[in-house]
Amino acid sequence: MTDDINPFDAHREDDDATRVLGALYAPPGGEAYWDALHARIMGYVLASENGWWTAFGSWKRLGLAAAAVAVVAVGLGTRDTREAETRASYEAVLDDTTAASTYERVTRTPGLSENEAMFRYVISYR
Amino acid sequence: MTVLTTTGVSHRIRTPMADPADVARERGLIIAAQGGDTEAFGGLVRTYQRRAYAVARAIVVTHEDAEDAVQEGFLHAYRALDRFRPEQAFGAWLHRIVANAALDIGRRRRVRDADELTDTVASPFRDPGEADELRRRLQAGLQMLTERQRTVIVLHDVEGFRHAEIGEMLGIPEGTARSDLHHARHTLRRQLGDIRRDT
Repeated sequence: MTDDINPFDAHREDDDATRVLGALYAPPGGEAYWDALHARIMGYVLASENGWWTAFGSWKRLGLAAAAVAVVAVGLGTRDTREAETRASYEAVLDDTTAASTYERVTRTPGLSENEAMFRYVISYR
Repeated sequence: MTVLTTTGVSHRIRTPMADPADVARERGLIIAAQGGDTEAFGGLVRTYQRRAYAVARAIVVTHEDAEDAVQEGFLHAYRALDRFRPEQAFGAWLHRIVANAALDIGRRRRVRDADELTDTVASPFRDPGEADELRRRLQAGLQMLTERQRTVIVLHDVEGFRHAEIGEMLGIPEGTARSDLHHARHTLRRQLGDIRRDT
């Protein structure tokens, strides 16, 4: 008996066929591929079982921290805006330089005659 | 365990668990995973994903479908963990689940792509452009096989599974797996026989 391949001897494994089949069915090489497949499988399992957000478990803490910072920032911003508005309101009242208020202030100064008050008003008018 | 290569060298990967320490470690991972520890389940995925891919790849036509089958298979396994009995071999249990997922994907694919099936089967590999004559003949031979015969010859001759394991995975009697292998080898030998006589 020789080692020649008998095409009808199907009881033996054909080394050539096995070698080529092996090459054709070989998975992608490299650890990076298997790491990626592992991550994909685990992401899929966790997302399917517990809701999609659990697949981002490692990001959860970071996301919550970012949200907290955002809330504080918005709160501080709102407070600053309110303070600025209040300050502006007070200043608007204190710095009221309209013609009517100036005339009133001058005419109410004690000890001034009406002419003198009018004169001061005209001088102060800008 | 022999590592897979892309050079055509034998790349059979035997069952990962051989060392008693590995068996004990696996047992620990299974118990922890059954208790809801997802990191432990991740350890099982890392141990078995290559073998699971090999099983799926032998059944479906494309690499992408094999990845989907592995993903689905692990999800089913995760959901069924509480039904896994410690006296079972985890690998065999998992492979059966992955094989079922792959068969299911194959069925869905056939229904969806019924018109394109011929084209898909004609180029089931990731690098059809590299086909040499031997590869071309083998590819032609593979098309002459039934899907189950193709699966059986890949699982047996390439991946090194035993007939009983293949039968369990595919839900067929061991004798049927043996018969499928015989017919598959016979067909491929005839195809390759021509080229051997030609050269």
